[in-house]
Amino acid sequence: MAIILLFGAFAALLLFGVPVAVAMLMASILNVLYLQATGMPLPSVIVAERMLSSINSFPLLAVPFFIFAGVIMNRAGLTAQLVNVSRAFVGHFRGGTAQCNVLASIFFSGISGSASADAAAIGSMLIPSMKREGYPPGFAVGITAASATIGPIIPPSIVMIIYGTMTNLSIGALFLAGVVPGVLIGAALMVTVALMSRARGFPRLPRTPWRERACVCWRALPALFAPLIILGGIISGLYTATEAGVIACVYGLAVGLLVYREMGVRDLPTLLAEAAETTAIPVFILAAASIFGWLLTFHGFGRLVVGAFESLSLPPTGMLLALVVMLLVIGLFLEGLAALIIFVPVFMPLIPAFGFDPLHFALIIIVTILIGTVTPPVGLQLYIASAIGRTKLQEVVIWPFVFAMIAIVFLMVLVPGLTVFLPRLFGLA
Amino acid sequence: MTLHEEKPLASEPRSTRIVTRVASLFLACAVVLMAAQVVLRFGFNRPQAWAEEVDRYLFIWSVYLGALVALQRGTHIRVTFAVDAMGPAGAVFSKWLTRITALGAFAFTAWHGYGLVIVNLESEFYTIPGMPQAFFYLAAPLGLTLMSLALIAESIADLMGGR
Repeated sequence: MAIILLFGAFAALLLFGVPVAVAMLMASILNVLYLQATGMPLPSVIVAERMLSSINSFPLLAVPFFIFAGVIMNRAGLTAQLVNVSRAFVGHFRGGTAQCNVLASIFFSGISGSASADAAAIGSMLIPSMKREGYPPGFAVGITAASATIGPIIPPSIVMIIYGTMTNLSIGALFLAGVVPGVLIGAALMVTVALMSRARGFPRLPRTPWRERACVCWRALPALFAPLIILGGIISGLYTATEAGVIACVYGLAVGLLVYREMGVRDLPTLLAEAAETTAIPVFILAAASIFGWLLTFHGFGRLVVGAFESLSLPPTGMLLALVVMLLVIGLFLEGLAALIIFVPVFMPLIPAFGFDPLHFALIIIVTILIGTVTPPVGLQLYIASAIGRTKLQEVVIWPFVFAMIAIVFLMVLVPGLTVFLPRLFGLA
Repeated sequence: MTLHEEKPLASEPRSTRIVTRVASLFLACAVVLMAAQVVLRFGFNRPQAWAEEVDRYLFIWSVYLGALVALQRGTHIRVTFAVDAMGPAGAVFSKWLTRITALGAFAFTAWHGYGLVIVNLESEFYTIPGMPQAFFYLAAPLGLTLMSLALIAESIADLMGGR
C-alpha cells in the first residue's frame, strides 16, 4: 500500500507538470508522514539528512568539473572544430551532413559527459545547416536527439559518475566499458542514416581533398587530443575521475585562451554560471531521489522485483532482455535520470541473484535508460533537439534510430565482452 | 519538459543575478582548490586532506544555490505534455500546483534541516579542527529556505499582477 502511495503521488505530481525533483521530494515526504501516521517510528529528519548525505561524495565532484569543462570547450570553439573534421571525412556520403551529425557527436562525447550538452551544441550548429540543405526538419531533429545519447556513453559521462557513486563501481571502469558500445551505437546510427538517405535521396557535400582533411585535423588537434588526456590519466591510474574533470577544465581553458583564442577571461563568469546551474539541475534530482530510493528499499521493493524476475524462470540472458524491455517501457514515461536513480538500487539485488557481471549490467541499464531519453512522450533529448530545430514533436523521425540503438543493446546483452573487454584489458575490472 | 533556457543572465532580476554569482563563486573555488590539489599531489607529493573535504562542501553549496537559480529561471526538468494538452487552464493549474508543492516540500525539509544544524552545532570539520561543520549542514536548509522565499515572492507578484 505504501509503495503504491509513493509511486501514485509521484506520478500524479509529475503528470501535472511539477518538476521531477519536487515531485520526488513531496511524494517521499507524504510517504514518511503516512508511515508515521501508521505508527512507524520514522523520524522526519531523515528527509533532510538524505538530501545532504547523498550528495556529500568525492566522486560526485566530477559532475560539475566535467560539465564546466564541456561548457568551456564548447565556448572555446572545440565543437566547431570537431564538426569541421566530421564534415571533411563523411560529408561526401549520401546524407553527408546527417552522417556528420553522428560522427561529430561521437567526437564531442569525448569532451562532454552530457547528452543535453551534445544535443544543444551539435544541434544548434547542424540542424539549421541540414534544414538549409533540404533535409526534412523532423529528420534533422531526430538524428540530433538520437546521436546525442552517445555523449554519456563514451567517456566522460555524468550518468556513469552518478551510477558509480550510487553503486560504488569504479568510474574509470565504467568509462572504459562505455567506449565500444558508444562507438557501436554511432555506427548503427550511421548505417540507419545511410539506408534512409539512399531511400529518400538526401544530398551529399563535395568530397574534401586529403590535403584539406589534414589541415582540418591539424586545427582540431587540441579538441581530438582532449579525450586522450581525460581517459589516459584515469586508465593509467595517474589520476581519479574527479581529478580528470578538473584537468579537463584547465586544458579547455588553456586551449580556449591560448590556442583558439575564441574566448577571454571576461567570459568566465558566464561560463561558471552556466555550469553551476547545469550541475544543480541533475544533482538536485539526485538529492531528492535519494530519499525516494531509500523509501523503496525500506518497503522491500527490491525484493519484490527480484521475486518477480525469478518467477519468470528465464536464463540469465533472457532475464537481461526482459530487464531491457522493462526499462524501455519505463523510459517512455519517466525522465532518464529519475529512472536511473529510482531503479538502479531496486535492480542491484538482481546482480548476485543471477550472477551478472556488475559492469556488463551497468552498461546495459545505462544505455537502455539513455534510449528512453529520446522516446516520446517523455524524452528530454527529443525536446531539446525539437526546440532547437523549431519542429513539432509529432514531425520528429525518431523510431528508426531508436530501433537501431535497441539492436545494439540486444547485442551487448548477448556479447558481454563488448562492455567488459576494455576494462579487463586495462586491469580496471 | 522544460529546457535549459538560453536567456542571458543580464536580463534576469537582480536577486537571480546575485545568487548566480555566489553559486558560480563556490564552483570556481571548488575548481581552483581541486586544481591546486592536483598540482600539490603531482608536483610536490603533498596532497592536503582538508582540500577534499572543503571541496565537497563547496560543491554542495553550489548545488543548492544553483537549484535556487534554476527555480527562479524555471529550468528544473519537468514533464509538460499532459499540461500542454490541457490548454491555458492546465498551465495555470500546473503553475500553482508546482508552487504549493514546492513550498510545502522545501519548507518541511528546511525545517528539519535546521534541526540537523542544531544537533551538529558542536561538530567540527573532519580535517580542520575548530571549523564548525554547521557550514556543511546549513547548505540544504538555507538553500531550501531561500527557494521557499523565492516562491512566496513570485506568488505575491503574480497575484498582484506584477508578472
